[in-house]
Amino acid sequence: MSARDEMWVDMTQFDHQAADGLWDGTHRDPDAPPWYRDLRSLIHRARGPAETHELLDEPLVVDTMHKVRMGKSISRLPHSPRARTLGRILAMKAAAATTASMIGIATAAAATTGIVAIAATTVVMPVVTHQIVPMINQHIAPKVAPAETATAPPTSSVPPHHVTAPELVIPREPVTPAEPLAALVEDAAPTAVTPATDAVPEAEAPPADPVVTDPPPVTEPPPPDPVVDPAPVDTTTVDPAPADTTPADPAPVDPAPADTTTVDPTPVQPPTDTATVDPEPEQPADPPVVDPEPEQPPPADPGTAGCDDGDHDQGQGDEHAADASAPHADESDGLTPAG
Amino acid sequence: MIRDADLPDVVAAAGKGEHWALTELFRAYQPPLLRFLRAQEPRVADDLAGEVWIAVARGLDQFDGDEAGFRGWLFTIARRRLIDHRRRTVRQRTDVVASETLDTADEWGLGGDPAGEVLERLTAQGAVETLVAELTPDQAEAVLLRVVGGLSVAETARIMDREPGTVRVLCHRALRRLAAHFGEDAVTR
Repeated sequence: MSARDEMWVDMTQFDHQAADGLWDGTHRDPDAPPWYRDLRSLIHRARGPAETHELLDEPLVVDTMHKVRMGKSISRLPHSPRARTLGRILAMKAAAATTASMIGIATAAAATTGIVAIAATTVVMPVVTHQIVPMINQHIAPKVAPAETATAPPTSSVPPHHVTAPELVIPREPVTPAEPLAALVEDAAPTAVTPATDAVPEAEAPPADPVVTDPPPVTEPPPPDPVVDPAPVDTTTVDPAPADTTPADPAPVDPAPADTTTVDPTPVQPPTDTATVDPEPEQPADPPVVDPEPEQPPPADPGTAGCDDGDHDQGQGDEHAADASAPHADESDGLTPAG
Repeated sequence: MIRDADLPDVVAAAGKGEHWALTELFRAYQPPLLRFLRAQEPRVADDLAGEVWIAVARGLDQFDGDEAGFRGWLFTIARRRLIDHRRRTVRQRTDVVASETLDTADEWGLGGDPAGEVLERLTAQGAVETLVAELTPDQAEAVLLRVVGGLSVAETARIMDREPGTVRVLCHRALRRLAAHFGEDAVTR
């Protein structure tokens, strides 16, 4: 704490109005140290409105108060495990909702990653396979490669690659898995989808004239095959991604067994847990502690309550005051306000 | 809180055992009462609060005062119940370590970085715990009565059976501790 802060704090000792406002959370001083903002925030929150869990006992307490007012002598609330359980259930539900939202976010992130992977496979893979691999096969010097790729950049050359690419990425079986993925990603990657649809009409444009006969040409045999294949290929270019990832999945699955082997040691840990649970055996000590409670009510309070432990730092004055009031605790409660 | 002008009617109706009035009193004062008790005896706070409300129900027809007076009465009873409970636990030699407090300390970031975003996530009870975590029992009680109970220095002094000047000194020392605590965090932030 800086000297300036100390001075500010000491000033509140003499300025009662400032001190009162400070503890009310209403004190606004432009010269206040930065940490006071945190303190004021705490005070505001501590005085905040009721929270759900704080009012869980309302029916029980109000009913009991009503009975007391009707003349029944009740000294304690009947236990309400249901209310406490309800509170825990609410907390668990909140945790479950949080988990669900986290899973949703993770799913969205995974879908986004899938888009990136698809883009990589649709753009990068064709270039690699149709530009670089042939060059390597033809033993072209590396100097030439940049020249060709330099001519390639005109994006107009990219669509043809898409059309010719199908041969590489033909796996048509995973079409179904790709569609849901594409459906998920519609909003995120419209650009990736549109080029595909563009390529399709271009390729099928000639036979498309007879609108009604569209389906037959597709099913028609060989000639369209090379043409038709490319069209679905663009859409199926989405497939490779899952196809690529699926092989990747099994890979992590392999290490999984290793994880399961690591799980073995965990059973070993439980003993350590139980070792830490040692305190539990002490819990049985609690019930015996609870038992004597019924003995508490006896007026032994004033006698033994004594000054043994008192309030520690809370002052013996408190103890004496409480001692004086303790025997009449319930009655004095009612008398106090009258004063 | 119930408006000062409405309190006499509410108290009168509650004294007749009317549910709406008892509910209104409970909803208005249970949160601060529970926060006050939980900050000091988290394990038994709910039970103590129940005892306090029963005592309030018994004494309703004898109460005569304004809203601040009602709050003072309520917290007077609460403090006595706390003292009774502590006597009992001392006599029974039970372990008073509040595991809930230890758990929530981490959860609420007690002693950690009270940066703005951390404070934003605090519940009301978490804020209360954070507020008094660094204070001595006396200071904590004075601050709780002033902040959570919304009581004046005079009322706090009466409840604590101290002089008003003593309460002011306690609050001032509490402020110094909090300033040191939050000031360090502000520096390290």
